Amino acid sequence: MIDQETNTTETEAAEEKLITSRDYDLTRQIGLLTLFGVGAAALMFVISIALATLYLFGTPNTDIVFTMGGLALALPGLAGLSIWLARNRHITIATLCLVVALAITNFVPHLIAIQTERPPLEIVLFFASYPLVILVSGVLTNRTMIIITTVAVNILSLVAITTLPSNSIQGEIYVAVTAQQLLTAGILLLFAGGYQQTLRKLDEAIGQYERARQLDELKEQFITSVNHELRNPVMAMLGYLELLKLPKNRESHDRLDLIVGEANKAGQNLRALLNSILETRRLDQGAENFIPQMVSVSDSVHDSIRMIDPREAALAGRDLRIRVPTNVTIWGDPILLQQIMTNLISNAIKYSGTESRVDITALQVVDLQEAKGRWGRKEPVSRLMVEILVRDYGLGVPPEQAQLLFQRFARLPRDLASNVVGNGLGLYLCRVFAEVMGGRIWLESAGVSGKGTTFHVRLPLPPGQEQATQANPEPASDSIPVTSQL
Amino acid sequence: MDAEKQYTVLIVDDNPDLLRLLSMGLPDMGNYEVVTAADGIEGLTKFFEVRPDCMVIDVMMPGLDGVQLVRTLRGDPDSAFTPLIMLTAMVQDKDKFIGMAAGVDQYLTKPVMTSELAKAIEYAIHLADAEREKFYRSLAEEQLSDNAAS
Repeated sequence: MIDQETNTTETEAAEEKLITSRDYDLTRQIGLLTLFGVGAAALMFVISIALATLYLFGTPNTDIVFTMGGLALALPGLAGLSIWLARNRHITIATLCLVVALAITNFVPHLIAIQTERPPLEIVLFFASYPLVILVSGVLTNRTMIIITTVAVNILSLVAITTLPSNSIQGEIYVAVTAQQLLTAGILLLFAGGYQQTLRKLDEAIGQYERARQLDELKEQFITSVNHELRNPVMAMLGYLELLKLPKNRESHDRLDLIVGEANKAGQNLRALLNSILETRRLDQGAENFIPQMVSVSDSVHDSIRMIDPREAALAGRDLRIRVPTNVTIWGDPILLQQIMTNLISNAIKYSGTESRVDITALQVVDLQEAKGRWGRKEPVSRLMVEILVRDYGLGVPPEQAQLLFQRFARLPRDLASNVVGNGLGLYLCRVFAEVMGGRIWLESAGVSGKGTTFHVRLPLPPGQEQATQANPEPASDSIPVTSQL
Repeated sequence: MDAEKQYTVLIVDDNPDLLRLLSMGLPDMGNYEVVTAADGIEGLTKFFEVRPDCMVIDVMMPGLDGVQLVRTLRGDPDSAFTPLIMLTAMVQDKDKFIGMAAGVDQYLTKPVMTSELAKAIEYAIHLADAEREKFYRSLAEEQLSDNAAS
């Protein structure tokens, strides 16, 4: 028990830590936006206040002072908004806000500098600062945003150039400025492409790691399970052989027969267990790879009863009515059939009261199917099949939930809430195995407690037996057939 | 351990094949009468019915498992001195530790030969007899000194 608890905790921890490249990228973007946002806010504030002061004490121009004062408040506000948006995972809008704020921080003072005829060096510096806006955008987002930012910045530069005094070489300036911006954008696009590639590789690696981890876990479970499961039958077999070593146990023929019989049974159990463990590993993959053979239903039923895990279903003291003639055989795989039977019988026991009985019956029936005949018309096709019924007198299955059960991992809400152990795979596998052998499985239940549920499995007869004319009548059933075949 | 006396062993295991084996095999190995139980609760019930001289308990059982059963038995002064042998298919060291910590006298890993189990039972009973003697002797000595003091 302790073992299982630790395993669950470890798995949960691993799942928590498991991130995709998307998560990693998001974290990075949020972090950067916060950093840039704070830095930009401080920068914008300082620049705006500085310039406002400059103009206040330099060439007093109330318009400019107010503009800069206003920007000193608005721009850090925008930066703050951008940080808030980033924290709420709206990365694109956040970046947009920040980029706009940065652009304005550069553009407005730029215009003012041109208007107030500041020294050319200052104006050139403003031009040179536009690519920084592209840089911020490129580091934070994707190629689309880089292009949009470049275009926007270029437009702003163009506007700024047009306000330059007409005697300046506007055309050449524009070319130089644009060239610089395009170069920045180009390099960023290259990196962005490379980065996306890296993220894809990261996802691949995470996927492979996860698969490897699961495989490792499965192997661990498998080894523990095999190790544990085999010890009981081995002890039984060796135990009986040890008894045979005692001379007194060899004196009476009856005693000898008894002990040898038990030892043999233990050996058979061991063999069945080995087969079952290896088959469980395959689950539903590769179930088709079997060589069909004649399988005795009676043997299978008895084998499967032996295989029931006492931890899951308490077999002891349960009344099992087995009406399976020894000559009934199907055409299929003994291990698949045994697994179906183990599942159905185990379920019947688990989901019904300890006082109620479980009926296991097998008989030949005439199976009516619709198949495409000549001329594409649907024609009824009848053939003889073997039908195995497993009936319990438990709670039954609500008719509307019956279809659910044959799906993978499906368990009824009622059963999930109860303390019956189950992994939801049993009936799904039963369906897969039955269909793979050319048969089908369905259930019948009124959904009434006490009337229980009947599971029907129809499987093909060995070739040559399907054409027999006589079929046994089906037993009368007192529950309403609700589900048709799947 | 008295050579003529018959000892009752209660075996608690959810595997019916093993219960059958030990019911047949233990009496062959010594003067043992075997009583069986298929799970922890039945084990407790049978204990108070039968008062065995020794118990062999499997770890993995549905409902009340082996370790919980051992703890329950050790917790009740009525049953605390019964020799307990844990029999299990769990092989890891930590399982052994948990078993020993719960208070079993011996911890055996399946598969165990019936003769080995018989030896373990004999040893456990013998040890319990010695412990009981020591306990009652110290109890008697305490009472003597109490009487002398008063």
